[in-house]
Amino acid sequence: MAGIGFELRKLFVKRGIIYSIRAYFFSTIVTAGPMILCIAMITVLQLLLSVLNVSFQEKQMFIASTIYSFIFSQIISGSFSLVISRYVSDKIYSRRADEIIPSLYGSLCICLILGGVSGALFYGLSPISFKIKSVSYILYILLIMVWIQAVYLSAMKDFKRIIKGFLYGISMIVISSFYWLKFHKGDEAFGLLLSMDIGFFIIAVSFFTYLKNSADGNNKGYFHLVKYLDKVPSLLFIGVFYNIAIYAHNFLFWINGLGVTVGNTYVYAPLYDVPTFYAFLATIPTMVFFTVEMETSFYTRYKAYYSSLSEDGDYESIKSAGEIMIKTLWEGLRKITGFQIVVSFLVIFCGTFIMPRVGITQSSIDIFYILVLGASVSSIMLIVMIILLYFENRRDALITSGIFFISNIIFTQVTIMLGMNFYGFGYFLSSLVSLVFALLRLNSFLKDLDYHTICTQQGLVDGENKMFSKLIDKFYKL
Amino acid sequence: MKEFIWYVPKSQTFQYDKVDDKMKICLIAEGSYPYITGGVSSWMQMLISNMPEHEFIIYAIGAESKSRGKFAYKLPDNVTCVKEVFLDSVSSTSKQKSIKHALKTQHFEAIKSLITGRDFDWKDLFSIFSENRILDINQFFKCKEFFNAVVEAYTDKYSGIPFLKFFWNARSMMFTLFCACLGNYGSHNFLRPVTEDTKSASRFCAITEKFPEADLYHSVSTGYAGIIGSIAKYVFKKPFIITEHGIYTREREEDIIKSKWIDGNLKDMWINFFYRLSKCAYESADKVITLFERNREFQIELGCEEAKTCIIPNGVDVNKFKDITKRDHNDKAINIGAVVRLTPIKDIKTMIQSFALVKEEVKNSVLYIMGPWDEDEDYFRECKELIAANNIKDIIFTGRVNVKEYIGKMDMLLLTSISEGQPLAILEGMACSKPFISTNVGSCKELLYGINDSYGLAGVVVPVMNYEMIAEKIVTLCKNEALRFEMGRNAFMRVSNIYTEEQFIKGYKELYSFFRGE
Repeated sequence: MAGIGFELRKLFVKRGIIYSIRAYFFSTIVTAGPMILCIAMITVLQLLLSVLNVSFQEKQMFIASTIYSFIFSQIISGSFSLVISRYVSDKIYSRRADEIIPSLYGSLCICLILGGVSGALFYGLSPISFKIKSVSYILYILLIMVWIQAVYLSAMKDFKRIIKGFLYGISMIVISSFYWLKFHKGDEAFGLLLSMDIGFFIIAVSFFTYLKNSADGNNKGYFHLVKYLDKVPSLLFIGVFYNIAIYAHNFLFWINGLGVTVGNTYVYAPLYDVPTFYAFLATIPTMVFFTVEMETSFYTRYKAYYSSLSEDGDYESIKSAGEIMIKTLWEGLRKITGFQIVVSFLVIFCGTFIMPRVGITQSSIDIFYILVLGASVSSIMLIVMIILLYFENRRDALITSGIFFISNIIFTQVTIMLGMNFYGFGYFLSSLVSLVFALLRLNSFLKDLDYHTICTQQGLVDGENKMFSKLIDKFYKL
Repeated sequence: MKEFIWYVPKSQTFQYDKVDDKMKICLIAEGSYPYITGGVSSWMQMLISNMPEHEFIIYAIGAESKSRGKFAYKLPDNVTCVKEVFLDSVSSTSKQKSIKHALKTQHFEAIKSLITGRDFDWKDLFSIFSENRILDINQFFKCKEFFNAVVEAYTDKYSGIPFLKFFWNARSMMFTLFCACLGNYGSHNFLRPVTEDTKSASRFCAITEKFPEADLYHSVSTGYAGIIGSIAKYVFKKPFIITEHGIYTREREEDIIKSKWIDGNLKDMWINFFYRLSKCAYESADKVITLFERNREFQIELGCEEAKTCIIPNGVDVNKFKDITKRDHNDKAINIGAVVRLTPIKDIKTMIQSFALVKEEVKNSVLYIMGPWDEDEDYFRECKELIAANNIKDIIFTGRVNVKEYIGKMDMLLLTSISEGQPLAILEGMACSKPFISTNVGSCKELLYGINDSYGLAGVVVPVMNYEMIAEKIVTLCKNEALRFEMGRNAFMRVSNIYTEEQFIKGYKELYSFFRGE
C-alpha cells in the first residue's frame, strides 16, 4: 500500500552522522618550542660575539641576517602550520596515512616558492656582499623547510625525532661556530651564518629522509592539502593573522624612526627587538607546561567526552563527561596562568640583574618588562585559541586572531606616537584584549557545548566554497 | 500563507472548461502516485480519469528527491497541477538568522510533545507551517531551541537510552514531517504534462502561487499525507476526507518492529509518532473511507470516530478485460501468474520457494512474475540469487508489461503478500475469470470466498509465508482443470456484480457532491 517505510530507512541512514572521536592535534606549541630554542641559541651566539669583542658592524650584520631569516621563515611556514596539523591528524584518523607525505612535497613546494621568490627579491636588491647574501638566503630557505617538516613530525606526534634533529643541528652549529671564531680572524658574521646553514641543513636532511622513508604507497596527491583548505579556510587565515601579528609591533617600530639600517638592507630596531626576543624566552616554560597538560589531563577528558557522544552514552553521561572536561580545562588554564605569572616575575627579576650587565640600555630594559607581560598574555591567548580549535570553533579563533592582528597594529602605532614611555604597551594591551575576547567566547561556547557539538558542527562542509580546489584543478590542467 | 512555485505550460493555452458541477479536488498521495505503480496508484488514476468533470490537483509526497518529475503515469487531462514534496530534503527560500524570534514557546512545546507522544494541540504545529514561520529549514534544525526541545523530550521520557541515537531519530522524525509540510519551497510543480515525456520540465515555466486551495482535500492514506490534509483543512476550512487502503499505522508498526536499524526503545517512539499522525488525520477528517469491514474496525480501534467511517470497495471495469489475449492452444504448460511489484511486502521469496515445490510435482508449470523491479533493486537481486542458488527453472520476470497481453494465458494467479488492502491485482484477475491463490491478508479472503453471497469460491486462501501450503494448493489446482474453470467463473460473477468500477466511481461521485455544498 501507500507506505514509504522502506525508503524512510534510506533517509535515516544517510542523515545519521557518525561522530568520530576527535583526533585533532594542533602542534603550534610544539613548533613554537624549537623556535624559542633557536632564539635562545642566537642569544648565546650574540653573547659570545660580545665577549669576543667582534666589531660592531659584524655583530649587527649577523643579528640582522638571523632575525630576518627567522621572522620571515616563521611567518611563511606558520601560516600553513594549523592547516597542515589538521590535515595530518585527519589523515591519520581516517587511516589515509599514504596521503600525508605527498602533501609534504606540496606544502614544501608552495612555501619554498613563496620564500624563494620573496628572498630572491629582497637580497637581489640589497647591496651587501654576495658571501653574506648567499648564506643568509640559504639560512632563510633552510629554516622554512625545517619549520614545515617539524609541523609534520609534531602532527605525527614524533616529538623524539624533532628533539633529536634539533639536538644534532644545534650542537653542530655551536661546534662549527666555535671552530670558526677560534681559527678565523674576521668575517665572523659569515662564519656564524655558515655554521647555522650547516646545522639547519643537517636538521632539514635528517627530517626529510625520515619523513620520506615513512611514506608508504605511491600517492600523488601533492596538492590535496590545498583542496583541503576549502574545508577549513579559516585555519589558513588564523595562521596568517597570528604569525604576522606576533611580529607586527616590531615591524611598526622598524619603520617608525627607531629603525637602524644595516648594510643598506636590513632595517631593525635593536632598542625594541632585543627586549622582544628576551621577553619571548619567558614563554618557554608555559608552552612546555601546556603541551604536557594538554597531552595528559585535558586530552584524555576531551577524548572521553567525544567517545561518550559517539558510543552509546546517555545524556547524563555525556553531560558529566563534558562537565569533567570543562572543569579540567578551566583548572588547567588557571594553573597555566598562575605558572606564567610566576615565571614572568622571575624573568623580570632575573632580567633586572643580568640585562644591564650584558650592555642592554635602560630604556630597552623598561620595554622588556612590559613585553614580558605582553608575551605572557599572548601565549595564554594562543593557548585559548588552540583550545577553541580543538572544539572546532574556528569562527571564534579566527575573530580572535583578527582582533590580535588589527589591535596590535593600531595600539602599537598609538604607543609609538605617545612616546618612549609607552613602548611595548601596545603589544601588551592588544594581547590582553584578544585574550579576554577568546576567553569570553570559549566560556559561552562551553556553556552550550553539547548543543554546538551535536547541532552546529555536522560535518565540515558548511558554507563550503570551492575556491582552492578550483585553483588546484586549474593548476593541474596546465 | 506562504508562496508556492507552480509550473504552467508556457503556451498558457490550457483553460479548464467551466462546468457547473465542477469541483477542484486536491488528492494527497504518499509514496505512491504518480511515481510508483501499484494498487493505490492505479486506484487514483482510475478515480481521476473517471471524473473528467472535476479538476484534480496532486500533492505528491515522495521519499527521495531524486525521483522528482519521474512520473510512472501519464497524468489525465483533468490533473491541472502536481505539487511534489520529498521527505529527504527541502531547499530554503532565504537565509533566516533567528528562528528564536519566529517560533514561540508553544511551538517548541508541541514539537516536544510530538516526540514524547504526549497530548498536544496540533494547531500549534500547523501554525508553524501556515504562518510562514520557517524560511530556512536547515537553520531551524540547527537552532538551540530545537536542541533543547529534544533534550527535554529525552529527559522527560527516554532518559537512559543512548542520547545521540535518540537525537538523530527524533531529528529524522521531525525532519521528514517538516519536509512534507514545508516542501513547497523551490520544489518543481508540473502543470499537466501533455506528453508521455513527463521528465522534461522545459515546457513549463514557474509561476508563484499560494498553497493549493481546493474545494475538497482527499488524502489517500493517513501518515504524512493525513497531516497535509489536516493542515489544509485548518487553513482553508474546507472539507477533508481520507481513503485508507491499508491501515497505515499498522503497516508502519510492522515495518518498524521488523526493522533492524532502530533501537528497541526508539521503536516505540517511531510507532507512537505514526500513531499520532494518523490520529490527527482521523480527528480532522470529515469522512474516513476504507475498502472493507475489517479495516473499518481497525480504524475505529485506532481512534477514529465510528460515525465518520464508511466503506467504498475497489472496483474494476470488467469490459476492459473482454478482449484480452487468449491462451495459445499449443501451449501445453501450466502457467501461473503473479501481477506484483518486486518488493519485500509482496514476499516474492515465498512465492519462489513455493514454486520450487510445485515444480517438483508439476513439471510443465511456469511462473510469470509480471511487474516492475526498479523500486527495490536489492530485493530483486536477492530473489534472482535465491532462484540461482536452488536452480529453479521456468520462472520468468517479465518486468513492466501490459498485463492484458499476459493475463489471459494464465491458468491461475498467485499473490503471496504479507500485507494488502483490497488488491486490484485480484479484482482484475477475477475480471479475467482466473482462479486465485492468495495469502490471507487485507480483504483477499472476502474477495475470493465472498461475504454472504452465493457466488461460491473464487480461489484458495492460504496463510502468510507458508510456502508448503501455498505449493500444495497450487498443485491441487494444477491437477484439476474443472476446479480452475469453476473458480474462474465464480470469480467473474462476483466481480461483475459486486466490485465494479461503476459502483466505486459512483460512491466517490456521491461523496464529492455531498461535500460540494459545504
